[in-house]
Amino acid sequence: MKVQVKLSGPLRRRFDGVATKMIELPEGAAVRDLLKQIGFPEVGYMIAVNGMRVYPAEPLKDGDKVVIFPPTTGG
Amino acid sequence: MGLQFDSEKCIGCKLCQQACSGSHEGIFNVTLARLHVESYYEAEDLKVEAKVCTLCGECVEACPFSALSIQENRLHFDRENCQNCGICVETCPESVIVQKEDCVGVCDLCNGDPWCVKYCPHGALSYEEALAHEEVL
Amino acid sequence: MFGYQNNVLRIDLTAQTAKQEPLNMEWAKKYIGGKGLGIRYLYEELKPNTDPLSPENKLIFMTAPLTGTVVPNSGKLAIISRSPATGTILDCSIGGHIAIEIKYAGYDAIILEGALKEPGYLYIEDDKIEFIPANDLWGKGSHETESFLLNKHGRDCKIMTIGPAGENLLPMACINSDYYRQAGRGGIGAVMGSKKLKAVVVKGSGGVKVADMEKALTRVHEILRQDTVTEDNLWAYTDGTATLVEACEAGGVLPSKNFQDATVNKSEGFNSDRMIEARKGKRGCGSCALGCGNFTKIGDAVVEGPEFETLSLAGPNCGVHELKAIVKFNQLCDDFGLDTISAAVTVSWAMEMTEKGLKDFGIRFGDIEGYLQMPEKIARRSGIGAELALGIKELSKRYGGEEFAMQSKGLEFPGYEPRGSWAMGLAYAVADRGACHMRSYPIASEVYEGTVEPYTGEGKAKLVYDGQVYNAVKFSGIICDFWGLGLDTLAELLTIVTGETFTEADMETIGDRIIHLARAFNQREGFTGKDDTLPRRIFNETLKSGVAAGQRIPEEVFGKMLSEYYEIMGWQPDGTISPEKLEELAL
Repeated sequence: MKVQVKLSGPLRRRFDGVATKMIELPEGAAVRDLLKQIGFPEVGYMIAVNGMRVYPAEPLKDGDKVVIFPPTTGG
Repeated sequence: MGLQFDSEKCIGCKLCQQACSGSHEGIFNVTLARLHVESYYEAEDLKVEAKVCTLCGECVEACPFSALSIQENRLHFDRENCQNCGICVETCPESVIVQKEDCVGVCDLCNGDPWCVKYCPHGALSYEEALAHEEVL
Repeated sequence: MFGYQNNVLRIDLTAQTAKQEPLNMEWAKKYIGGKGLGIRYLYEELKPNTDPLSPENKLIFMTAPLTGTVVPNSGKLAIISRSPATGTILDCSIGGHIAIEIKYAGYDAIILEGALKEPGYLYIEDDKIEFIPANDLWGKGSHETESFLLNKHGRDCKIMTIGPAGENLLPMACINSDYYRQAGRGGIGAVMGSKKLKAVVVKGSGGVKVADMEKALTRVHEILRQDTVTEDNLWAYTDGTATLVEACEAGGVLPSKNFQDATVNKSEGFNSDRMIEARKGKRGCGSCALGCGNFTKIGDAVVEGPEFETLSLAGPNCGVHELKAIVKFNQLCDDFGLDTISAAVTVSWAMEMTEKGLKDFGIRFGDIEGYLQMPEKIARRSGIGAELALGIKELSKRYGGEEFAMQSKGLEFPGYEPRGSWAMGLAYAVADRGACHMRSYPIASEVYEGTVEPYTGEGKAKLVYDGQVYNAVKFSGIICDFWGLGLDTLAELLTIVTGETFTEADMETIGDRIIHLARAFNQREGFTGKDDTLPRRIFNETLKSGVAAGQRIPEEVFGKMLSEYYEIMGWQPDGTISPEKLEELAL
């Protein structure tokens, strides 16, 4: 399956400045598999799938839109 | 080539001027810096202006006492010869020579590793001889 | 100690005199500068029960040892007074370049006392202090005033102004600087207005000496590269606080329609991607290495910002989902001198009151035309604005709707929904100046990092306390909120600059001391644990949408968090500090 991954803010550097990429994953993969594949640790980043925050165990399905947010310190 | 400035990358923080005054004068005071970089709002627009030594050599030509020279592509100041006449300060087209009480201050490019470049957070200032600073996005 | 000017400028506006006095260095060692030292001065000098809008109230502009140096993100100014909105201690923070200019003019602090008889402004150029009449400027917007003064005194000057809201003594009036930077909260602009002071113009020619210049340059450079302009902090540069819009929406904490619900999948028109499209430039404060400011222009709507708070509260919380409208609202608030947070939450409350038929304020959710008329009406107290200018604590007493008047101690809520981040609810309730997100920011652990379960009261008192200690000492350094430096780094920076040895443990002690001092101030003004509360909506109504759907903070859980917080503080069960504890702290 393929999911769309958007990196927010300074994390874009990790995709060579591209904000969004399609990532191929094996069927049944969860968020933690995606994180591992693109080199993110499981803890410390907020992950949203289709606009809702999820935790690393969340299963993914084809066409999901994933956003990874950087930690922030204030507003 | 002297200092290069890219206005797109400047956020107007003046860390360059802070670092310049600190390293040359031993005090943090942006008015004592040998460069002037500013961003400001005017008529609902964001303007960015930078004045840096371009190594044009006009001060060298103007100095009556041969206190200024260009050596190895850097401006060299000879304290011994300076009579503090202020002619270079008035001549400098960028107004980046600092008039001090006993002499003047010029941009000497910090022996090839300018503090202003090192402190510029997003790479608006650069100098080819300088150590590569970290690229920021 | 180096880094300080050891000089305070004390100005009597009534007599139009000024004098210089040494900084209290004993206090400086215990409170550093900024927030902490400012509160220490006010605690000492302000008589209890002083009317915040009387000449007897004081307005303190406080810098810190790091101000005006090469230390990154050290350019902010703390402004301290008693709040006209809440009656509590009030310390605000303003960016731009004014703090550094005050330091270069030779002062660690400026203390304003008394009041001018006629509108005027202060011109401070090093030792020269002038009181200049400003009848012609009275009534004018902050932007026009700043432009006029820059033209008159030259662009080297740095300026703070108030708009009509400050002149008209609104509890939501801000102080403005560098056009788009504000000390926003608690009616600090009204204190300036009550002193008939339209502006403060500062020009300084001096500098700041540090204990070890070589180390300052080399070590601070390393810190800047290795700890400031890093992936952890650069969100402030790439996106600014707008990055929080999408994060908060996904986290179920982006409020909708006066905190009736959370916003879900509606932020496309005003999220960070949209902001980046509309961005015309980036700008930081003096000595800032990050540069959070997004200069945004959409047609005739122009502002540096909007920041997250405004995007959230003047956005979906008012039923508005279009960036241009929010930018315009922000621009109008800045110019008329209104805090966007309090103004937007007051408007959203009025919208809900109107829609519920409780009181017709003539404004409904999503009515952009009506909403854009609000800043001027409120600031000038004209028409419906005459009522809204009171703020929602007072309004809800008059007209009802107290259970959804989103405020604590009289200060309107920031843009984070506490039901999706329970520690944030506690942080609002116990914040020294009323509902504030800058006193402790546990939402980072509960929502952004996901390291703490958000919908429980367990462990939240400690989380909030730790955040308070951290922010209190950081804002006394002064370091900007957006650099997430460790307290060991703050201690190292202070050691390099002052020449006095500071440790991480010292930072914690100082932070703790400041929280107690602020509490002691409020206690002296009659505040008790009863004031540490939240509107009923948070306890009684569950969120319907988003990941926090079904959540409310049960009142008994809130009560337990509060008790645990008091216990950590060493306060009595009713939230008061015992006389013994006050003694022990030797404030």
